[in-house]
This record gives sequence, C-alpha cells and structure tokens, in this order.
Amino acid sequence: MLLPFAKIIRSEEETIKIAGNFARLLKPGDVVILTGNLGSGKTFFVRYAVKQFGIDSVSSPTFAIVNEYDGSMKIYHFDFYRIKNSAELFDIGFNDYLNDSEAVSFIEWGEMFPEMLPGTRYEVDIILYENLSRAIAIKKNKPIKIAIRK
Amino acid sequence: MDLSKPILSIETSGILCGVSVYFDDGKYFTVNIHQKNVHAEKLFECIDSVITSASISLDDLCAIAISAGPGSFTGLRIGMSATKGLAFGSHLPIIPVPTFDALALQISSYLPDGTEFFIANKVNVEEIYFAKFKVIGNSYIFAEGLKIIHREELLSKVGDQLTFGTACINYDCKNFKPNVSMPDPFYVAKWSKLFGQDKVLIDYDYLEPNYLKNFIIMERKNV
Repeated sequence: MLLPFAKIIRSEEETIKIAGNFARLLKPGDVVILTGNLGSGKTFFVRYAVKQFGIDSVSSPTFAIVNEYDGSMKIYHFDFYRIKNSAELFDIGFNDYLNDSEAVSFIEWGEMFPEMLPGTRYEVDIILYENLSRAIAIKKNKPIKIAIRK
Repeated sequence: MDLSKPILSIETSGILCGVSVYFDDGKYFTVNIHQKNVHAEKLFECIDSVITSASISLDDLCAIAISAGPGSFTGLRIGMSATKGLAFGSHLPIIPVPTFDALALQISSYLPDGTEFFIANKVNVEEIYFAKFKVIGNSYIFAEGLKIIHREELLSKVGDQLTFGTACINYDCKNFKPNVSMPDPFYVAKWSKLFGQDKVLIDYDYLEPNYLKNFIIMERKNV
C-alpha cells in the first residue's frame, strides 16, 4: 500500500482487504489514529488490521478505554470517545503505553486530544455516506523538524 | 534517623520492579522483577520477600528510600503510594531518591574515572529525560543538568558517546545501552545512605513523583 491512500468502498470485503494491506506497513512502536463518526467502522477496521498479527478477538474499547492483545505483535487498542479530559489519559498511563516500543497502538477518536498524540503517526479517516458506501483515507503524519538548540 | 539500621528501597520508575533491604555494601537483600505492567501486582510480594529473607520487620528499618523520578508516570505513582502507605503505617521517614542520580551512581561504579556518559530515558514518544554525567572516583557529578529534550535533539547532543536509557532503543550504536535505564534498588538505597541525609521527610503528605514537567490537563475537543 502506498501512502497517502484514499478509496471509496462499497463492501465489507473491501474494508477487510484495505485493513490487511495497511497492517503490513506497521512496525513496533507505531501509532495509528482512527477518525470517523459513530458507526463508520473504526473498530471493524482495527479488527481486520490486527488479524495480520494473529489476533481474532477484538472488541470495542469504548467502555474499557484500552484493550490489550498479544499476537505476533503486541497491540494496544484505545478509544477516547468517553474521555472527558486528558487527566483520565494520564491516569491510565497513556504515555507509558505509547512508550512501549514493542507494541502498535490504535487510537479511535484520537483527534479529541491532539496534544496527547505523537507527531509521527498514521491517520485513518473513515467517512460514512448516506448510501452506506464509505471513503477510507490513510496518511502518515510526520512532525515538522524542529530547530536544534545549541 | 539511626543509620545503623537497614533501609528499605523501592524502584518502580521503569520496567524494573525492584526492592532491597540494605544494611551495607556487604549485606543486602534484593528482589527484582523485570516485566512490564506488573508493579502494582508484584511490589508488595517483593517487599514481603526481602523483609522475610532479611529476618526483620518494618519496625527494624530506619527509613524507606523511594526512587522518585523522573520516569514512568504509572510506575512512579505505584511506588510512591506504596511507600507512603508503608511509611505511614510503620512511622518511618521517607527518603525520595532522584532516579537519575541513583542510576548515575550505579553506572559510575563500573566506569573508569573521568568517563563522561549520558542518561536518556523516554518521557513520551516525542520527549526525552536527559542528563550528562562524569565519573569522579566511584561517584559522579552532573556535567549537564537534568532536563527534557525533544527526541530530534538526542543524536546531536550525544553523538556516538556512551549513552544509557530507553531513548537509545531506536538507534543502532554500540555505545548506546537501552537496557540500562533504571537503577537497581541496591543503588537507590546506597544513594540514600550516602547523600540522602538532608532529604529525609517525616511529613510527606505533599511528596509526589518528580516528572520534571507539569502534565497539563486539557478538555477534549468536540469533533
């Protein structure tokens, strides 16, 4: 898969294929933000992305805030939807999770707390249209290189 | 504080969950567990194990030394809250030990006099706790004070010089030692005995881990 990527899709099978292809790009330490309205298919996308790592039992982390999975890759699956302020993220050790250089972190609704996110990250945006087709756009963000202080 | 008594030290600033009962350099009891995310579950087992092995009770201690940071947000809070609970229940003072100082003391005991080295541990994905030290005898001095730098600054600051800490993990350099990133609890205790006299706290209600930064609380953005 070449990034940036964007495609209109009309079936679950297409989403499954895109999620699988995207997962092959991921390396330990990567962070993936998923944006899109309720029901747009963020958790569905994660479920089929992590199948690449031998993980079959992904459920929504909306109530648990974070789910952890062990496959051929360690996965942390967050959902910020119920988070009211960043203190709640500090309390669950969010930075410690992201510091785990052996794991890939998926974060649904990550755009709610942009200041908590690393500058380098993948962004998966899913738009659900009225005719139930979807647009999936994937890009990789890189931070602006800062000046080195002497 | 009666320094002839043993001291209990606790290290939870990183992946290591470590506890030591330290009498002196020739007599000490240490339990270390090197595993992620087990500190809350295992810390009291470790404490019980070293106390039992040393055939003492908490009442026989002179103080509890806690590795106070900087380090893991969650790890430090687990260690600090356990320390406060034990100290309060046993009427013991607490000695907060600067984590980088204890690690520098440990590293200095293995390096030749005059060697300069860096410690660089991750704060988060973007930032690094950073300090430069120089070995003096079997101890150390700060060559560059503890601060937070951006990860992009690391290589320009350390080059290929001897650097310890979790921030080294992404670089392929023989002088980078990512596996030496937190002190053994033995050195937390030793630091407290050597340098901790003026840090002894009887009233520790407001004692908190040293994260070297304020965690600014932000409300969520409506999307």
